[in-house]
Amino acid sequence: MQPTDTEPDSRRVKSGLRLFSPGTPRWVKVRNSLWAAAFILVVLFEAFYWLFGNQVEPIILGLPFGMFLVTSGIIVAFVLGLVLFLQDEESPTSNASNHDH
Amino acid sequence: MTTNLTLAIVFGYLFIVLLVGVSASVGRKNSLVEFVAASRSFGPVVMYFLVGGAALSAVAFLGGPGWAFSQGAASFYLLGYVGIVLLPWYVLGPLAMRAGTRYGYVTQAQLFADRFQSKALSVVVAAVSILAFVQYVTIQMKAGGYVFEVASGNRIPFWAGAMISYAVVLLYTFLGGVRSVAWTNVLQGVIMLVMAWILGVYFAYALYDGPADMFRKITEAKPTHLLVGPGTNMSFTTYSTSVLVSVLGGLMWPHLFMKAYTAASERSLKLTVILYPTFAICLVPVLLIGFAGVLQVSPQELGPPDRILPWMFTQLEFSPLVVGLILAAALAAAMSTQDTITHAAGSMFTIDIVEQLREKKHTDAQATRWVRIFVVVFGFAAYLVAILGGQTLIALLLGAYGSIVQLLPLTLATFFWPRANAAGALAGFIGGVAFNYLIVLDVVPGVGEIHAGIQGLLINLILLVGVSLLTKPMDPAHLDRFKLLRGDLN
Repeated sequence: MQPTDTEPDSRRVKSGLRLFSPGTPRWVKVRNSLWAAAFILVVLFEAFYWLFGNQVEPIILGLPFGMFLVTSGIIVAFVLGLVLFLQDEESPTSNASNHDH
Repeated sequence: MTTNLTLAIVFGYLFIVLLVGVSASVGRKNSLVEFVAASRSFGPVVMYFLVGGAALSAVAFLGGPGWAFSQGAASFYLLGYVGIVLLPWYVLGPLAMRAGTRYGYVTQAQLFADRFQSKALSVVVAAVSILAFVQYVTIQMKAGGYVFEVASGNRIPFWAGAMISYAVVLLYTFLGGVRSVAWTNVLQGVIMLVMAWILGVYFAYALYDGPADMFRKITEAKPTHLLVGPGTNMSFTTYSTSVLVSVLGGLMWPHLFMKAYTAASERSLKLTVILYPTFAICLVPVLLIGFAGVLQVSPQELGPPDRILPWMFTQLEFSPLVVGLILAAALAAAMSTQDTITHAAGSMFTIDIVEQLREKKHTDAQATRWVRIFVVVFGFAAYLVAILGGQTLIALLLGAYGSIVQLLPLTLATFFWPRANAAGALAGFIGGVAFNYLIVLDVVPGVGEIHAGIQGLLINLILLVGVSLLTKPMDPAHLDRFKLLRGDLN
């Protein structure tokens, strides 16, 4: 249940983004923001791989370096995703009420 | 004739797909939520293939080698975006699913229409999506046409080939809805994955001393083929903005988005997202096929680059059995996208356009019947476009992506920005789509080489935010319904 103390008056709709429910512990916000940042970095890496290796050599695992970098990005995304999933399995609902301090 | 055996295998494959598709439909309830969302019952394995097959289409399987062959490193963009395209679904998928379960949505536009209380938005979103679908499904049909041309040694003309495979798709989609789509995708996905790896590795070793040797020889002959940037086939800006627009827009394709409504649980949805890179990575061998062709045939001799895969194995004197299996895999890639798009188009036309505009609603059984009818109508229309139109595969798709990515601000505002209202949503979406097409059609000049979809997205965001702030917010009690979905997303 969400606390209702913050919206007693005329219930104005605020103009800001609402990324987290009210009462979300700070550490959960930080953790989830870090996850989001990590995945955004992977996306940016895939889009701008040429900054890091727009070249053929060295050929790694049979792939030209650029293609190897792009493929590595996918593998990193897979590994990160797996860790995130396992973390969520540990605490299936990271609901505010489950983490009262 | 060797082609007779090849052709027999392709037809045998089509028959098995039909059998799987039809048997999946037997004994199921005749209701809208069953036909469109499989009564929200799919576990992770079916979801993996359903979503994987839909996302990895003929664009990848035939277009990928074509691009590697003709454009070189520009094709890495496919690999880059397909591998990570599902990531945002880890957050958005469960939210959409909760909304679907709680409020009974089976399509993406229903979610927007309810959140923004706007029938107009539903109609506009569905209309734009269906237009983009036509482009997308046309590409897949062309792939079907090529496959039969090759399998029959040009005895089956393009129009007939495209028709045969699509008729099978239409039949099982008509009968079983998304459940048939899903189970045929399992079969098609397995064939696609296995053949991609076998072929990619095979070509690199049959024609060269392995992939490393292949890439060295390509570089000697064409020094810039494996690079992007100035002097190559794709500029840095085009490469990066194409990846970005595809990653941002990929999930917004309604036929993918609405699969959130078919999942049995959030766990199965999340697992699909996490495991998907294992599906997408088969693009690595797929691109190897195209690269293997670079030194084998000149672009002039080949004609349309999308024919590189069929060309390669017809030159290599494979046994007709193997050729048949390869063609079946290419067909699998095309059909596993055709079915889900056709299904989505029929569903959206009925639910998001017809039902929204009618004063007197259809009953559930009537609506299901209309979905079936529009599945066939859409199929027929798309077929005509495929036969009468002509462009290479991926260029077509990029035009469509530019309009689909405009659904992203709507989706984000639905869940994360309570202040967004119908006026802002409509203005942003229409403005973004219009601007994208104006650039694509050369009516207005775009900014440099930045993808038209990204430029549209900027207009979209400005209008969404600006118009929402200048007009009245929505009823807080209504917005609470969407806040409640956020319970455990902290």
